[in-house]
This record gives sequence, structure tokens and C-alpha cells, in this order.
Amino acid sequence: MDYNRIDILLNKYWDCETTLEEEQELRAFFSSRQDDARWAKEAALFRYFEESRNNSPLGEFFDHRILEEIGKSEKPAGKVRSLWMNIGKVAAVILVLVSAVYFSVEDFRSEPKISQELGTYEDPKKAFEETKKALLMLSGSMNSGKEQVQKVSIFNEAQETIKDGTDQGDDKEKKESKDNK
Amino acid sequence: MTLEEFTNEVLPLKNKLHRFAVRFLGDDMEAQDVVQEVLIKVWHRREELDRVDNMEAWCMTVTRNLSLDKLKSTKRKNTVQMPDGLDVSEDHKRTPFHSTAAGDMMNNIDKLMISLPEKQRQVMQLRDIEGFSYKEISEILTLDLNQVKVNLFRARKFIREKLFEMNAYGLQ
Repeated sequence: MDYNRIDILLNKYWDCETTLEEEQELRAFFSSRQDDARWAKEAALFRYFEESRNNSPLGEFFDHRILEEIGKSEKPAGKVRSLWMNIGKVAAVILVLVSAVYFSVEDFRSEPKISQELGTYEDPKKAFEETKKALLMLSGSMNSGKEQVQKVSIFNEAQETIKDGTDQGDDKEKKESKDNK
Repeated sequence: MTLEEFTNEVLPLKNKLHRFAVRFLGDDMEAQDVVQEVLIKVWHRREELDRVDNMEAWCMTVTRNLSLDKLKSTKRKNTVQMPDGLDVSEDHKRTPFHSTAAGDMMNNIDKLMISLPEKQRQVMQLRDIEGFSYKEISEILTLDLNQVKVNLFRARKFIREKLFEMNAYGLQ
């Protein structure tokens, strides 16, 4: 290596006129020459740069941590769950619709059966008799109630006869006054 | 972007991003959190990132933004921490040089670097350590090209002056 060239490069370096390649050249030169008294200070500085550049405190353990973090965030657990939830929703709606249709059809089919059912009686005639009996009992008790209501209607009649009576009296008075004239 | 591409192209940037975040935060663990956040962000936005042509610069920009957010949220804590970072005994924890023969010199350069104003320090980090072009630096730090050059010039000038004030054993 030409020493003059190093001097020139160093001057350019302090004036900030070196290219990246020239700076790399200086670093390479000084890292191979540690005990050159002529450029001891410059050598120390460039070695400092070089060693700082090679300072790598983050090892494989750090890589593992990063990849683990990435793996954690990559698991699409949320998406799968939402998909299953959507399928669940659709299934629930279908279930409701199907069961609604099924039961209404079932209802419709079994309607005529219900009209033929006789409740607690097997024999239609007996059922008819029992119904008749029940209805008679109902009308009997209703009639007894009617008698009580008839007592109340006496008041009505009385009120009306009184009304009629006073109306007739007024007519008689008018007739009498006409006759006097 | 597939997982393979992510593992081969993005994950190896971790140390670069970490070094950059440390320059902002001055704290190793906090910087690690930021890098983790950046990488996970890249993975989540991998579809739109296929259109980004400079993935490295993009990641650096995100690292910068997240680091600044973090600084804002822990402002009080950091105003206490920054002076500690200038202490030599503290430096041992965060630099790889304490075991080398020229350890003192390296530590002193590191101290100089830390004592630079924030912008100069970041520009110097991106240029001299990470090897980004001026254009990339201007994108990452959202500065215009001239500002990048001015900051770099001042940083190098300061380092040069201080470096030559030191004696051969790296003592000021």
C-alpha cells in the first residue's frame, strides 16, 4: 500500500471528501496495521469504527424470540373462530326454519284427528249424553239467575208506569183548560 | 416477503439497528426492545414493504422513530441516565473494547463519540460505522444533504482535534 495514498485519503477523509469505498479502504488498511507509529491515532479511530461495526450483541437467542413473536401473531386463530361462528349462525337459522316448517306441517296434518277426538269418552253416544247433561245443568243455573234478575226488572216496570201516569195526567189538565175556554 | 426472506434479509440487520438505537437511547435493553418492535413491524407490514427498494434504510428510519418515541416517553429517566453514560466505568458495560490491549484508547474514542451533539453523533455513526451513503443518511434522519455533510464535517473535526490532544496512552 502506497503511504502517500493513505495520507491523501486521510486528508480527504477529514475534509469529508472521501467516497464510501475510500473510507472502506482506510478501514481495511488500518485494521491490518495496528502498530504503525505514524498513524497511531488514525489507526485507533478506524479500528474503533471497524470494531463498532462488528459489535453484535444480539445473537441467536434474539432471533428465536423474534421468530416466536412472529409465529404467535401469525396463528389465524381469530379468523378460524369467526368462520366457525358464521357456520354456527347459518346452521342455527336453518335449524329454526326446518323445525318451524316441520311442526307447522305436522300441525296441519293432525288437525282432522283432533276433531274426531272425544276427550275422556270412548263412545260418541255417551259423550253426547254427557255433553247434553252438562249443557242442561248450565242452562238450569242460568235460569235460576234469571229469576233474580227479573226482580230487578220490577223496578224498571214501576218506573215506566209512573212515567206514563204523569204523562196522562198532563194531557187531562190540558183538555180541561181547553174545555173551559 | 416469505419467512425465509425475512430470516435471511431482515433479521441480520438486527445488530445494525441495535447499534443505532443504542446511540439514541444509551441503554442496551431499551434498544433491544426497539429493535424487536421494528422487526415485528416489518413482518406485519411485509406486503407493502415489498415495494420499498431500500429495506435497510427503511428499517433504520423506523428504528429512529421508535427510539425517539421511547425517549419522549422516558424523558425524565434519560435526563438522569445520560451523564452516567459519559462516565468511564459505565462505558465498560456497553463497549466491546475493555478486553482489548488498546482498550483505553478505544474507550476514549467512544467517550468522544458520545460527547458529540446528537445529530453529529448519529451522522457519524451512520457514515463511519455503518457505511451509509449521504443520501441514505438524509432519508434516515430526515435531514437535507447539506445538513448531513455539515454535521459530518463538524463531527470529524471535533474528533480529530480531541484525538490529537490525547497522548500516546490515550489520556487527555
